Amino acid sequence: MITFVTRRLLWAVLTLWLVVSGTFLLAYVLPSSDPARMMAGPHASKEVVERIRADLYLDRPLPEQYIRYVSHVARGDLGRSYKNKEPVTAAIRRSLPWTALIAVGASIFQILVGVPIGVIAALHKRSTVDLGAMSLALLGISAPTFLTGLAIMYLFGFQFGWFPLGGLGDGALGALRSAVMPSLTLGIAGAAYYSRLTRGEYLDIAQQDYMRTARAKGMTERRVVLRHGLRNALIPVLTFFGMDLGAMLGGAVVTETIFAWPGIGKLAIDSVLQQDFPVMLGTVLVASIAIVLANLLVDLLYAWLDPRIRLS
Amino acid sequence: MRVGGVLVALVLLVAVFGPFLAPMDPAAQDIAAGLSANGAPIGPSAAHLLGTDPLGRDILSRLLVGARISMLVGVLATTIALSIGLVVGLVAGYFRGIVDTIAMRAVDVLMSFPFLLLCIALVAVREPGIDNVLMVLGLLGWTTMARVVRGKVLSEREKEYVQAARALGLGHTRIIFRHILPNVVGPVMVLATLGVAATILAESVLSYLGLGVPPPTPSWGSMISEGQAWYRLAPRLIFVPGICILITVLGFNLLGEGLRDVLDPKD
Repeated sequence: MITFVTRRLLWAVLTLWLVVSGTFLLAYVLPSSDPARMMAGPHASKEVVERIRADLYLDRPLPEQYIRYVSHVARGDLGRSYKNKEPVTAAIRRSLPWTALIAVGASIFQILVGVPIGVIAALHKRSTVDLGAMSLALLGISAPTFLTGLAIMYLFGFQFGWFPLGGLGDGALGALRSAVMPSLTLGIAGAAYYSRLTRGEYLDIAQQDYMRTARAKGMTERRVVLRHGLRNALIPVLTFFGMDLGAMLGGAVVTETIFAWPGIGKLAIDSVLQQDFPVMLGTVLVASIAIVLANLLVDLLYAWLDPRIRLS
Repeated sequence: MRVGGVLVALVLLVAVFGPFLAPMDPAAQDIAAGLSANGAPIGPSAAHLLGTDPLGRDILSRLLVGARISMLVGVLATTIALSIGLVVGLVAGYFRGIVDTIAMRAVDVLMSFPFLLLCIALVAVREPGIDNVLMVLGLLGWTTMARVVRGKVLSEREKEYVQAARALGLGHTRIIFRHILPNVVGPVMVLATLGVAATILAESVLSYLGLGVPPPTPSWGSMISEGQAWYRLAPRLIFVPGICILITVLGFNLLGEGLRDVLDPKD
């Protein structure tokens, strides 16, 4: 186990370093226009542009810029916004809790809706219920986030008027109320995915010998389904829960744009549209770090649950 | 699968012939028609079967022309992703060892980035536009394909026909492309079909966020963002193009899953 954990931790550190290097490429090597010019604005004089270039060390050779960048990131310094000079970390720290709020809401929805639908569909394999549930799930996976978001907004926000159309409500209760539609938007595709995943896993499990043994022992069907079937079917579903983070962060960009939700996705897209590169890179970096850590956690959890992984 | 096939064929036909079927120039503004009484873009009429957008442009024509962008990006970007993933997967699985380790670690690292956010950032630093959308989606979308192909090759390379080919003294390139490749085509076809669906979704998001094809060229995603301000008065501005995207993606997903069932009857 210790060897496995050590190896896995080392790989996580290496991945983080490669991810940071990737964002460096994104910021310093790939841009098609001059960052100093973009920061100065289209009407700035040549002197101003040059001064900014020197201030940002953009006039130094690339290796030197790279070392500077990596050492700054390692110290938790992601630079300052081009637009309002605010430290990037402050902007991210401010928006991260809001994304976390709707991500938690979405996860609850995914599990509470997706998993039961999957089990019910599996229990009624090839019935109308199964067909209906799986058609609905396929629809949920095929719909672009902005379509589900706008449909939810039109229906629950505008037609029924149940929830505020966008932004944050007043106070804790208001914030929670306005979090409902974004959470739902973010969770629908996931719930559809989970129901399919759970159904597939459950169908595999249903053929296992221990399911037959449990029934043969005279166990109630309810107990067989919940204690033996669902519990085992959920292990792969839970691992997916960690990997899902990336998809959720992508969905957050669109969801938060639609509902004017002040999270990290909106921060990212605003920075892209304003060409505020440090903020944009900061969001990509923080999101990637979150994914690397989530995967690490899931792998360790999985190894702990399933001895075959850590021994191989 | 049949439903999926019909949907895909339909959208393909529209993508090819749509611009010829379009009743009007998608960029032409019908200013004479003006706005409706409530200030919204004019609704469906004989002249404009699906009404007009806020700028007085015919929605049906824009939809028909926009289909081409979605399909073009979907199919071309998937082809790029497919080619990279296929070669990486074949080489990694066949040679194993250090090549395999490096390739699969590269896949891990690329998968550590949030895909959509990375696409957005890359398109943004490279300038929005169809060519950059194509490149970004193609160059980032190959990871799943590489993983699946590698897995399949790992089991194929141990089979007798590969050993026989090796015993005959055939070169690696020939063994990989002439002998192993035809045996991994099944999952590749499934993934490619599902990949087109995912790519069309990603393109629509990029267009929706204003990073896709620049105006006035219509794309389904940008039509939705242009119509969003009017969603109370004219919900069709967002739901008509939205449903077009949904149907297209659904078609490819159905087709892909149907193919999987046919090629892998185990499930």
